[in-house]
Amino acid sequence: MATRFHHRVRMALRSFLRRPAAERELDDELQFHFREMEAHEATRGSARAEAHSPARRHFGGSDQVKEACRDMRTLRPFENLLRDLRFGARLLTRSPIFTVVAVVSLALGIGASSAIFSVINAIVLRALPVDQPEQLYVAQVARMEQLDPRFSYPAYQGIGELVAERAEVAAVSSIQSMQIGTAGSNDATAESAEVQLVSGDYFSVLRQHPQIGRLLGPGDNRTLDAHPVAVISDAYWSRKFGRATNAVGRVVIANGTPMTIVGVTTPRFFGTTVGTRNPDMWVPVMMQAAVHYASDMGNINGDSQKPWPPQREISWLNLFLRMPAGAVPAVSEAMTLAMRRDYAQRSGYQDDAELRRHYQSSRVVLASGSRGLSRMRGDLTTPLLVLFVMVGLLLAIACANIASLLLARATTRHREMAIRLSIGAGRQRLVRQLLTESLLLALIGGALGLVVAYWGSSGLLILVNDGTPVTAIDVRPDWRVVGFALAVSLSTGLFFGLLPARRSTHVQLADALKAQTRGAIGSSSRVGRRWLGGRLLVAAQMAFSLLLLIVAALFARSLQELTRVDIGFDRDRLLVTRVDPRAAGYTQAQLPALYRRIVEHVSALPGVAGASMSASGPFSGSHWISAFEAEGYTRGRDEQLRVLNEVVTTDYFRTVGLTLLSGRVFGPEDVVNSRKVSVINQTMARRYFGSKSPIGKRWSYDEEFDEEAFEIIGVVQDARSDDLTAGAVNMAYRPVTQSDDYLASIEVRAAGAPAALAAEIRSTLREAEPRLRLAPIEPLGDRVVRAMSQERLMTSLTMAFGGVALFLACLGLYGTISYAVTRRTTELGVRIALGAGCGAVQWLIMREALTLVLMGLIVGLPLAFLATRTMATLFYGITPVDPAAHSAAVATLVVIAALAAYLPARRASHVDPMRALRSE
Amino acid sequence: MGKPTDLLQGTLDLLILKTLALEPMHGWGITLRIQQISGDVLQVQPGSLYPALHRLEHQGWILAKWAQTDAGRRAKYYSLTRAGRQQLEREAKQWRRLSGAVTTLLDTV
Repeated sequence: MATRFHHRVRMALRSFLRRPAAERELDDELQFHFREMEAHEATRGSARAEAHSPARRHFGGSDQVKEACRDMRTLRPFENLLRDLRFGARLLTRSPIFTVVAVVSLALGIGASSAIFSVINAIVLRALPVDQPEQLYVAQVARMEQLDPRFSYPAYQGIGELVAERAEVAAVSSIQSMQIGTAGSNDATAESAEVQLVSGDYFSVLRQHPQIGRLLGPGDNRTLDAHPVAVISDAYWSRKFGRATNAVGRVVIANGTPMTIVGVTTPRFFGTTVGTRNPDMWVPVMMQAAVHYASDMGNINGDSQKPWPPQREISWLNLFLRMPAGAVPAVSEAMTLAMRRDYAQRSGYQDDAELRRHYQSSRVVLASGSRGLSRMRGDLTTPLLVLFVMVGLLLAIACANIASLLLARATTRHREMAIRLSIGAGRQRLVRQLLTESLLLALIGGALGLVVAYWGSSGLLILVNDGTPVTAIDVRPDWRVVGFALAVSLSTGLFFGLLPARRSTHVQLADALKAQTRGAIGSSSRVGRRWLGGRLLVAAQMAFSLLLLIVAALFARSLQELTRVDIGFDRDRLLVTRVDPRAAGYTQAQLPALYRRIVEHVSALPGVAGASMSASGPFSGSHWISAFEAEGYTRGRDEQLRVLNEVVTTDYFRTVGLTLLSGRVFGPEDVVNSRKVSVINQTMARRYFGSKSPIGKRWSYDEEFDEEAFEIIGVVQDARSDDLTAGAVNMAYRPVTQSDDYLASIEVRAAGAPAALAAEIRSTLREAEPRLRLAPIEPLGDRVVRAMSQERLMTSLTMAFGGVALFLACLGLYGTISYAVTRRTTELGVRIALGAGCGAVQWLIMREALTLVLMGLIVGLPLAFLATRTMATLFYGITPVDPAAHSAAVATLVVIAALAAYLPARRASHVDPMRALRSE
Repeated sequence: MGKPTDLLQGTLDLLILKTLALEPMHGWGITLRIQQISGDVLQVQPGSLYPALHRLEHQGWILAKWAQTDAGRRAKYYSLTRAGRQQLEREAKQWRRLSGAVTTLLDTV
């Protein structure tokens, strides 16, 4: 049996590989047969003429005999495919313009959709590269309709003990940039690196193994400040140490604290955060205070200046749990009960019915952690899906054009098909061959599309990330992206190939073989029916491009509204930058003097109208929100007052350009031990003090209005903090003299053009405070523009898509109308001969085009209505039925489409009746 | 001229194998031999013969080799393989069973 199989494989391969020889042998064999047969007939003594006839009769059929013999070969279907491919390739090279247009539009369409898909894949779909990622869960507290994924370190420990039997728990902080220097060198050579604090079981929960050295273990996380060890990533190992094995054991200085590198992770592992930056270094949670980690925390009456790990009041860690899916309900239930018990013991809320209700309604929710944590995912999923759908429609519009071209070609290949059918080609075989042609086209387009996608996806990420390349996310095509591109190519190939292929093989042989007539008036019904498909394609193209144009117009309108927002600050004259005095090694006691010196040095520069410092700074991306109570204001049930805190130097308001509306701003009289004062913004004043003046009233972090509360001394105008789309928020300013918070932002007001000042500010500060490192100095306007980056990106991308869609759709319209004009040349000639005017003929053609546009509008408008309704959250200041956006889109479509139709209409009116009639 | 009897599907294979059991032969030779032995009852058309030969070759029952004819012409000679001989026995047995059954049926009814 084995030898039989062996033999058959050998035969199959031989006949396939030696096809030319096999063909020759087949030829020889049959020729021998017919020659012998002839000779045989001759010896039988028949007349010569008759002798020829049977042989010739047979010979006439020898092509069929050969074909039947070839069918016996095992690899015949494959051979056919190759032949179809060769034939298809030959046809494609014979009409190079069609091929290039089709391939390029497919490559762009498939490439753009694959690019967006690979970004979606990387950010939204892909699981972390760890073992059994589906077992990972992220814990979140659901309280008062908000989800907070942050826990305190004691809470993490409690949960670990609570669920020890059923799940493993690891804690991980946000990623923070730190100054990393090497031991023995001075601070000036320090470079920044991304550091993440993790609990000792982080790597074991993620089932990670070291590449060299060791990873962190439970033993690295016992005593506060006593574990100066770090694990570095593979990328950082390459970048900083050139993959030298002696990197393990080296000491680096992280924000001033020496840390020993103990190991390197594997190349695949990038941490558990999908975003624009990956950790370079993992450090034990216990080292929080030593490395001055201070980022992304929730603080309820804790002291952020003291080490965080022992404090139950400071929530700053995300929890990853590993457990089988079946354990999830029990674990989340246990965690919920424990959390409520904990609140009960801590805040004694049993006395307060309202608080009790709050805390008892809070739950712990376990969400899937298989894809890691990602703020980017939340921000980008909807915009990416919108782009994905848009580019899909664009691809459909491009395919419709190719289908139209193929339909047109099907008409010209009518006779070829008829002839091939009449000499015995199977209809199925012909359809298969035509489909092979269009699939070939689609696959070439798809292959080029993958190249486009490779560049496009990193380009898209750069655009998403305000123009900075993102190396942290791997968007290189993986099997999913390649599979996607392949599936899209095949389905587009079928989509634009099937209809024309069926059309061209459905031929009435007798009709077609008769000389083909150009469509005169009488025979136009059949041709007309054939072109109904083409017209419907054009109408659909119009509808789709209207949809894309409306979406683009809505984004443009939204961006327009956004740029009109009054941010409060003087965005044209303000320069801003950031410093980190703690990382530079200043002690708490040195800070007030440092702030004073910075402000004085900068203010003294020529061309500077004022300078100030603040804790967060305008549009800096960091802010500090806390709960508060206002004197004389009674909170509603469920109402929680939140205020954005800002700590500022005396000149802040004058420098950033916020107008004082009543009372006074901070002055030299506000010192450490004088009464605690605060300036609030207009919104806070209006909301909680109504029509009465808030001056002299107090607000407080707790319910007591004692000496810890703040007396309101002034009201300033509103300013946006970060998010242009967010409405007015409460803001309270306090003087740095009465606070020990760090100031990290410097604001400089320029007297004239701000651009020239940056270099001077930098050199002055470097001279005065050599230890201090300054972030780039930028105009506030740049930060504001960056705050709109997503809106700008969506506007430009959707505008581009809309424009290309309109162009392709109008190309389709132009082609269809041109064809109609050619087809009706005789009719038009007759009309003109009978005295139809130029305008009448043009209108005749334009009417045909405008009908298609109108059909597109009738379908497209409701489609757009339904589609944009789901996108309402992406628009600022407008509703999805914004009349300006809709009318602009409709007007653009109609005007451009009319222009596209006018060209063939004009040609129609210039038809020479004599020539038109003669050519019939 | 009456239409030549259509061969039952699969019967042609049996005839070819049987013919080749005697000696290696080329396609035309097989045609003649079948025609002669059956007394012109069975006529094999090249349109059926050659595809069948190619199929049998691909199945490994017969082997093809180019050789000189008596007249000094090059022709493709087919010969039976061992597997082909076994196949012939199987098919012949089957055929006898089938034709016996048909004969019995015709005689009784």
